[in-house]
Amino acid sequence: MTHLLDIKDLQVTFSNRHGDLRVLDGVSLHVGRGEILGIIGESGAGKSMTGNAVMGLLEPPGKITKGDILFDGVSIIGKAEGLRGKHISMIFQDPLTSLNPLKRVGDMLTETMRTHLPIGKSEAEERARASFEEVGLDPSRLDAYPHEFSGGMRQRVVIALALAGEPELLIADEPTTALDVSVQAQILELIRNLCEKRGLGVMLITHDIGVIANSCDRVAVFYAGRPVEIAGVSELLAHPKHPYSEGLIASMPRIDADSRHEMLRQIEGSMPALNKLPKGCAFAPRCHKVMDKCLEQQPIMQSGRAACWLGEA
Amino acid sequence: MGNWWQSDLFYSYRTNPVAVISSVVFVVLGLAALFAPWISPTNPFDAGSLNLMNGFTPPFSANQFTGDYFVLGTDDQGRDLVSAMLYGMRISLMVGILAVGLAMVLGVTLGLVAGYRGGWVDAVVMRLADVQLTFPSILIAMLVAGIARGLVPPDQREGMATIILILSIGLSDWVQFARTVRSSTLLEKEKEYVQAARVLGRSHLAIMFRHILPGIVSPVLVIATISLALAIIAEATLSFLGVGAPPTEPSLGTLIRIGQDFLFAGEWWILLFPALTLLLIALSVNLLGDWLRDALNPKLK
Repeated sequence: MTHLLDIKDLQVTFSNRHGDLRVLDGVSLHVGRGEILGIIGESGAGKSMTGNAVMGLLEPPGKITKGDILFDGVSIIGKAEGLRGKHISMIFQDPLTSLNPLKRVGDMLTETMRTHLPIGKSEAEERARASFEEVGLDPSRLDAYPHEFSGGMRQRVVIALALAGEPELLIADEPTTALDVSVQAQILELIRNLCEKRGLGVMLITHDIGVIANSCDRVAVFYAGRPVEIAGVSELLAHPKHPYSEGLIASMPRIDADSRHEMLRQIEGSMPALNKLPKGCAFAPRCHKVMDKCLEQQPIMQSGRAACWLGEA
Repeated sequence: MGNWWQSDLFYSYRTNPVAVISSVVFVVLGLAALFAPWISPTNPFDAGSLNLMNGFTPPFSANQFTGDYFVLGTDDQGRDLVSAMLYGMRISLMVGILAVGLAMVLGVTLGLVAGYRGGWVDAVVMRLADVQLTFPSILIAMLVAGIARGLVPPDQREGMATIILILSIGLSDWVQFARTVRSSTLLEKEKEYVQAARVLGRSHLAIMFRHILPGIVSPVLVIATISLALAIIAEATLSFLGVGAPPTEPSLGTLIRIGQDFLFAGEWWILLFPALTLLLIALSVNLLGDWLRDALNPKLK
């Protein structure tokens, strides 16, 4: 069976006069229909870059130098423009800046629908009302401008817009980062519901492991431009195989732990610059379980779990 | 939802006496020009109705030979100056508005494409604009007018004169629009909603004209208003220099040129009244443009 989205050994390089910078290297992951894949990692780990690569939004000098991106079994490298909105859609972090302040949201919605679907004006308006109800907004607000909505409602508008062309895959790039926590939960639940109801595949990019725990089926943990661990959510949270995943989970405040007496753990140091990646495992300098082999040779992800030498030995 | 009379712009207009007065002056002159055929005492373009005996009649008095009375006097051909000015304003305003329209369409389109596409398109358009800016725009207009006249067969030159005028002023004035629109486009296209529109699969054309353009209309409006005053003056200048409206269908500039010939012979009115009218039009449009610029500038609020 072909996956909805299948990224195979993707490498993205930015070249300038100082040389080549591999912002993504050896990225392999897949998203199925009706599945939410979480992508987590710290800033600069390549989370958003993966999303941009799929959407064909890499700006020069960045380009795909290796690997393939398959959508429904067909390579879409260089062809993503024709898929945007119709098959793959994307939503961004800040719902205010992703809406044109001068246009009524209903007009944006019907225009987007009519770009992708062979429908007339009245049917588009009909559908716009239905889609507003689907994302939990009052259809009477279709005449409003973006500034007349609250942050959470705006993100609902953005989601309605992203789904206007009835795409099969949604890339959500930190969709809840700009929202407060209660609204965040509502938006995640909305995405979850849409995913189940429409069979939508979702790539949910975030740096918040709480978001992952709440909404995803599987998770890819990114570090320094490559996934270091890909696993089911409960599996990863309970038994992280990679020391980095372990550190991420340990650094999350827990409500059940006796935190009054315990300091929150943190991962020492910071991610190495992409042009100064160590020879072996990129995480080795910060890893508390580091072995000689880690400094020598880069671990590869085997049987799709963790890219770490620990499991091999 | 606010109505237009509750808008900030209208409030700023209402509370600014200069804006109110200049817009009233402009509207009155504009209406007078528009309805010239109905309100003017004679038809100055009808050469057959002119009586050369009426030539050089001074204002506010009757002609010494024929006894005909003309409020503001007549020119050398015996044309009633009021009628000639009404019809002249018609030509001046029409040429000005259409020339600015042409410059606006041309400049906005080129500026939008240059700013949005960038790269060599941007370089070519903007270098062209830079080169054109090194010449005085009246020179460009004369150049275009000269070339256009050369291309038109001599027997059609009279009829084409107005179109040539519009073309030459329009082509000399697009640079302002293109530069402003380009810089606004550069700012606007970096905004996230433009990228959002891209990921929703909107075409480049739709993004340029439906998303970016509405965001940059206010500087365009300001430039259009100020350009209108300049275009009307440019038309007068070209006509004054003799490459504009023909003497058979005089615009304000043509009337001023005719009047200039007789100024030192004592027939001052042929020059004075058209010149004052031109001044009034240009000043009112200019003041309106100034007000609009301040009213639409968020930094001055």
